[in-house]
Amino acid sequence: MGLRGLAELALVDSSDSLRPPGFDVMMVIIASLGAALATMQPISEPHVAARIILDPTLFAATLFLALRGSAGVAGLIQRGIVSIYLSYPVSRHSVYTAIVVSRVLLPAATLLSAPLLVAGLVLLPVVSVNPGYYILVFLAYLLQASMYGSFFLLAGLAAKSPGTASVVSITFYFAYNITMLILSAVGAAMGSNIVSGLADAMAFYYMVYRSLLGVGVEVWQLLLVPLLLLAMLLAGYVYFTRRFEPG
Amino acid sequence: MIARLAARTLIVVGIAVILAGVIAELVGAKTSVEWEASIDTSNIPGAAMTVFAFSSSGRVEISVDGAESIYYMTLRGDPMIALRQLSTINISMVDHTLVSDIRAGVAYGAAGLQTNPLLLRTLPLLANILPVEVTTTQAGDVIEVNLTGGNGVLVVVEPSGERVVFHMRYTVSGYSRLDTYTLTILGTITSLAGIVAYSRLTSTRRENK
Repeated sequence: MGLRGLAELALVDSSDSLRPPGFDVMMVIIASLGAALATMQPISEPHVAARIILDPTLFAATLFLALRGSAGVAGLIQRGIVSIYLSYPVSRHSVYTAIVVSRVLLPAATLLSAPLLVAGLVLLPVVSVNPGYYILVFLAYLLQASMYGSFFLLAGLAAKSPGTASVVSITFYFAYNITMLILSAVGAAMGSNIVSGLADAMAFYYMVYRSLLGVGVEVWQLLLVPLLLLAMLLAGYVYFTRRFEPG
Repeated sequence: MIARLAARTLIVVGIAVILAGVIAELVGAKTSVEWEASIDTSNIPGAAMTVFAFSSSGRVEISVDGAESIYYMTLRGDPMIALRQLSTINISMVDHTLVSDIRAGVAYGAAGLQTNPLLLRTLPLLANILPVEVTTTQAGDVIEVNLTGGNGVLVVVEPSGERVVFHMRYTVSGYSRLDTYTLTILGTITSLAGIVAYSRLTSTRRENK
């Protein structure tokens, strides 16, 4: 029942997190944006194409995760649906994993891949030269979005109120990005490579992109966001399996 | 659930691919761009020009009128970083112009340089303190550099008179996309396939109920 139950629960919850028309409207808009960006510029390298398409998409996907991932989960708790999930013959860690899949991974992967599919078709002669680079940049953006989404999920589970959960999530997202900007500005003003490097490391996709360009990237810069993602997932897991009370 | 999501994604992708064809016809990419900039150097000891390929790859040709000596360096990443690094050794920009030509996938700009004239002459030594390779060329030579996405070139000029004029031509290479007709056909087929799949999946669900 374990893995099958987890998959079934993830599918049940996905029918709420990816429900039309909100999700579809967002997909149409970001896929159209991807189409415009792919055709307006003479992009001639797959990893450059992926970055140009995914930069604005990451912002849209993150806001979606804050609404459906964070506030959505808080709404499920308020309506008593999480209690129903917990009454299924599956363990708490399976329920948590199913919620991570349906509220973070699946929406982020679908939203990020829709404009990438469009750009991949439009720029087929360019992308087919090195599809590995194209997919690698996509995975880097997916990891960054998952890091944001994991925090949003934790906020939703802890807040149990959709309003509070969305405010906390959006505040975290802006605080994270503004910290990145401040560190970058302070690093430039002080001439400190470590501070500037820390600002760069907070954007995992940028580190992957830079390494594909051949610009030197240090190992710790590539590890920061994956470690943050692991820490958020672990914190959510510990909270949900040990302390979470749906009532 | 997954099959319905895939069908919905197909519809969306199909619509966006048709739209891509329309956008390509109206405001499609350019494969070459030419630009000229004139810098008044009567009160300043130098001028600079930069070209940065942010989304395209191509060949840039730069010629300079009114130069006594020319130094240029190719850069990986944003050339504005190099300009900021120049400011750390007391070379600052005045009267700068920056054009971002999204349809050619390139940004270019020119500026006057405010600094000690002797400092400009030491630019070939810059490679010892900054991670760049500085090349010196003769006045009248055409600088030709191949740029890939995310790379740029920075040209610094010591003027011979009161005005420096930069001429720049950038030609995109390696760019190719599906033509509008193919995009329209592909988009129509994809969205129709999505609509058929979605309606079959939802009608099956209604029948099961």
